[in-house]
Amino acid sequence: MTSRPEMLNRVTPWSDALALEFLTISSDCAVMRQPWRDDLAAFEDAMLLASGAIATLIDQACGMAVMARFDRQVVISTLNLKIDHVRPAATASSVTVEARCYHMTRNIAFVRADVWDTDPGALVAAAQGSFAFRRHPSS
Amino acid sequence: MNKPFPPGDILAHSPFAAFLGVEMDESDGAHLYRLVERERLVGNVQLPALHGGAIAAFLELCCAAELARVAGLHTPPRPISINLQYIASAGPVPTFSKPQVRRIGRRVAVVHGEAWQLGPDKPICAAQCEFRI
Repeated sequence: MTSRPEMLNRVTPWSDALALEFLTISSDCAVMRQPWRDDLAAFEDAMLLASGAIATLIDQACGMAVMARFDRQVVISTLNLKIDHVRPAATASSVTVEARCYHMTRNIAFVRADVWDTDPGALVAAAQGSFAFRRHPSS
Repeated sequence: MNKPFPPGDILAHSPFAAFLGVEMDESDGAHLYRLVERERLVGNVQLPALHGGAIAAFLELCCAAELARVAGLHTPPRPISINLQYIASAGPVPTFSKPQVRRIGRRVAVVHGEAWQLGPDKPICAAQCEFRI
């Protein structure tokens, strides 16, 4: 695993607002976590993480997995994303995502992502998406 | 686990909807959902553009809320799958949606939603959602 502090320092207000945690990054793979927070509950009195928060976690990690392929900064935009909500996450549990960029063309990256709560073998959600990228204006 | 609530009142009972900033307008007779403009929804500060995850969350919430309203559900519908197509970059301005419930079966419901900013004829994102009901 290589550490890329410049990625961690990038300002992404929405993932900062959710307090997404960056766990590891390798050459084509990013692992991130959404810690449990009461204000991210889908409904009051149900300590269940909103599926919208899981969608953000997936989108962010997929972008990071694409970024992991580059030595320089790139601007990434999501073209499409399909998310299957396999089962509800455990009550008041954090969720972890592993996103892998499994193929790239000149401008397009293809990414798969798995989401789990406690056991990486028992998925909460699975996703697949394609992403467009271009050189960052400042690099 | 989930306490029953009046149909159509999902947004008022969702802490995440409040955090995201989703509101519903009934003023013109139709049901228009709005994602309030907030700095924290930005994903790319250079462009600037809304975060794809925030748009996904908005569309999924609108679709669930509209389904609960139309079907008269007293418990929140659970998402099975969501398929998102991002059509254009979204700026840091208010975003709208008027989701359409396409089918309500015995166990599964299908809802489509498009999000727009400048007008309904200029969508920024489209979502196909299936819910367990």
